[in-house]
Amino acid sequence: MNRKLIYTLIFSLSYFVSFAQAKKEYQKEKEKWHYQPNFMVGFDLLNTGASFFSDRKLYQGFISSRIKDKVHGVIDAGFESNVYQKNGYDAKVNGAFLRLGSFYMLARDPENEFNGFYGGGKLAGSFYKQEYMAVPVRGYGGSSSSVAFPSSTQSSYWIEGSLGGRVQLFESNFYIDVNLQPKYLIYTTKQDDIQPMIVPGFGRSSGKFTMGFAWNIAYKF
Amino acid sequence: MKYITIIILLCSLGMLTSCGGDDDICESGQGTPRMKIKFKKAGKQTTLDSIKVFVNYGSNVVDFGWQTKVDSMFVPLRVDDSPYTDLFIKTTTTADSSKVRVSYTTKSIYVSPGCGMKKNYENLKSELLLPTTVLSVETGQNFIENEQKTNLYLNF
Repeated sequence: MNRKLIYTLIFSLSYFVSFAQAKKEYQKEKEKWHYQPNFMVGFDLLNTGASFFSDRKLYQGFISSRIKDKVHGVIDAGFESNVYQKNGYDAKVNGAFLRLGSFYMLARDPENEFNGFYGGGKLAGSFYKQEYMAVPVRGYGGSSSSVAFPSSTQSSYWIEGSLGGRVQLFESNFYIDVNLQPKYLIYTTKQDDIQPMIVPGFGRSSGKFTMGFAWNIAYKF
Repeated sequence: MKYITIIILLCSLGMLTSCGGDDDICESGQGTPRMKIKFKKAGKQTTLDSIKVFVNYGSNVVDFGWQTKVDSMFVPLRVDDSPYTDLFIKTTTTADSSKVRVSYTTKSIYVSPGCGMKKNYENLKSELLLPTTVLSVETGQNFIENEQKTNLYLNF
């Protein structure tokens, strides 16, 4: 467990290769693997905590279940309210979102099959209420104005990658699940053709791509 | 087990620092179109030796500076709720400026996240409030959707 080893581990992809050797053991197991009801329920503590200090209030959680040997299915749900006040915009949104997907355990801890790194994908949708109090009109020489739009209900859909890791907390049923969520916006309904600036569950949506992050405490039933 | 913990910690640290929002940029030419002005002398289009235009934008007056040997000019109009924009025109430093009021109705059109909205002007009317160097005004194309056609002719 020296430092050198740890760094080699982090920066080298050969890490996955070394785990591949352990594959044989898993394969034996694979044959006898049958789905048994198993659930892990997690809640994102990081974003919940951050909600106390910012305008972005994001609460999200997940339920995942091991479906096949290395494949887990996962459902994420959450609620977000947020404001966007920048570059002359003044907007607020709030709404719920749902994400469905699965992930594949890329590398597992031989001692506990729920520990390890995973990668996967999800389909996501958000249904929310938005209000644009100001959309800027850019003018010349200090002449500027804005246009306000009434509150409306919109929806957005995106695909999301899921890259993360899970680790058991000591010998308990609790796990820490940390994941990165690169998101790509596919479709959004628009009010008067206005590209939404923020979408609950997605984040800043003026560009098509955003990155999300979750730090969950999960309980395995 | 320990490796995993360390990597997860590293990942979380990296992610907390890496999320920065990009500012949206409004590329030029996508915003509100400007008014195109041309000049006439004795009914014929002409090139002016020198011209200076000031525009009152409500909050302040912007001096567009001296332009020499020009046959046309672009002037941005107001984008606020004012139904008109006042222009002041000078051709020599000593002469008093002429005041032209351009009145219009506006229409807001959404462009992009970076640009927000732009205004198009309709029912353009020009009125010479203070004739000095400018003798009269003529309206050209009476709407502004792009910067191609001339909207205002100034007769000297």
